Amino acid sequence: MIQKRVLFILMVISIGGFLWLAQEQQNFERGTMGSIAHAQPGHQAPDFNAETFTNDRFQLNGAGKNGTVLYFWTSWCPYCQASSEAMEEAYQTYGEDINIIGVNAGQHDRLSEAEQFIERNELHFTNVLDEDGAISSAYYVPPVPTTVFIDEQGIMTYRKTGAISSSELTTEIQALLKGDS
Amino acid sequence: MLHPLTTWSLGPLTVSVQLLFLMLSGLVGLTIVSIYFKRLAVEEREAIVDKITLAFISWILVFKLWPFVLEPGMVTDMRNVIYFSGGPWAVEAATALSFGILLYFYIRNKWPFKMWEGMLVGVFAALIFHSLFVREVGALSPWMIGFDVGGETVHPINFYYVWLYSIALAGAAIFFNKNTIYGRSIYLVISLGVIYFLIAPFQA
Repeated sequence: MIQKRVLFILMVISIGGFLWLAQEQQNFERGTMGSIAHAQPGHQAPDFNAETFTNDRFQLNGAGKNGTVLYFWTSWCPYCQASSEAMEEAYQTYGEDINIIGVNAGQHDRLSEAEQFIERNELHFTNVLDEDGAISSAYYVPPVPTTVFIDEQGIMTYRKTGAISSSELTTEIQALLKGDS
Repeated sequence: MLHPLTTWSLGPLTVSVQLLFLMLSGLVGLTIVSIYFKRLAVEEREAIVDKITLAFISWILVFKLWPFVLEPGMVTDMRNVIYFSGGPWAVEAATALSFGILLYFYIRNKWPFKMWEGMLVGVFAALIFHSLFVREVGALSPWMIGFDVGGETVHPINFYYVWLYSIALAGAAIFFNKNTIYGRSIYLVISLGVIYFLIAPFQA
């Protein structure tokens, strides 16, 4: 009987406590951005500024369009090879509306082989170099390939580790375009 | 406390904390189900646990092979079986099939309703185990207690879950008589809903 009472009191306190905390959280979020940069869905995607393979610069924040797909790859990874065709197809179809950005995890690759990979797979989307590994580290890469979907507001909506198929890529891009991811 | 995106590599084999602990949680859940049935002296214990294992393996198979259902053309290169998994509706399809398997054997073998109760207890145990070890980062917190992410304090969501799952499970053990047929199961399902409602404001 005592066990029941103690547990019941604990439950009431817990429910009341969480409801009160939720109210406090709501008040707090009114005065803040409410989101931090962290490489998991639901959070602000970590910003970066990097050099592309065509010697331009790319900055994630303010990249425009309806969202961004970040695709982390290396030249030696067979899973990346398998995903690259789908990524290029997506670029050809949605490239006008969505940023499709390849990120070569340079700390785990050689520049010459990365360049060959781009040429061999006829990749036309923008690819950036991550020579010091800062971008990869912020996004918990490796493993490669990793594909990250980021909406217009810079919030990460989905993360796929491993090869990504055309159908999955299309579904997630369409969700970004609709703004319902 | 491990970050779910951390990976460990052993030669060519790479495993993420997320995947490893999902599998371990499944095993913990299955073990708890088996122990629970033993304590309740459910006669069909072995057969039920076998079918839950079958449903678990079916779930993995459907999830792994789902890309070939959506894009049958991929079958032409068998390496794709290794490369691809999941995709849109993969989780839903795998879950529906696994549930279908369990429902089929439950009806065909006229198993007791305790089967579902045992499974719910197993699910709670698996969720507690997972939340104990895998860090889940929530929204920015106004308080100083929580995880530190880039100098900011965020809600330690997984600990909130551990607390609430644990008291809900304790409630199932204490508030209900061993012979209750549906009560404990209904209570556990409602508890899950209440827990997700209580935690939602702190999610990122």
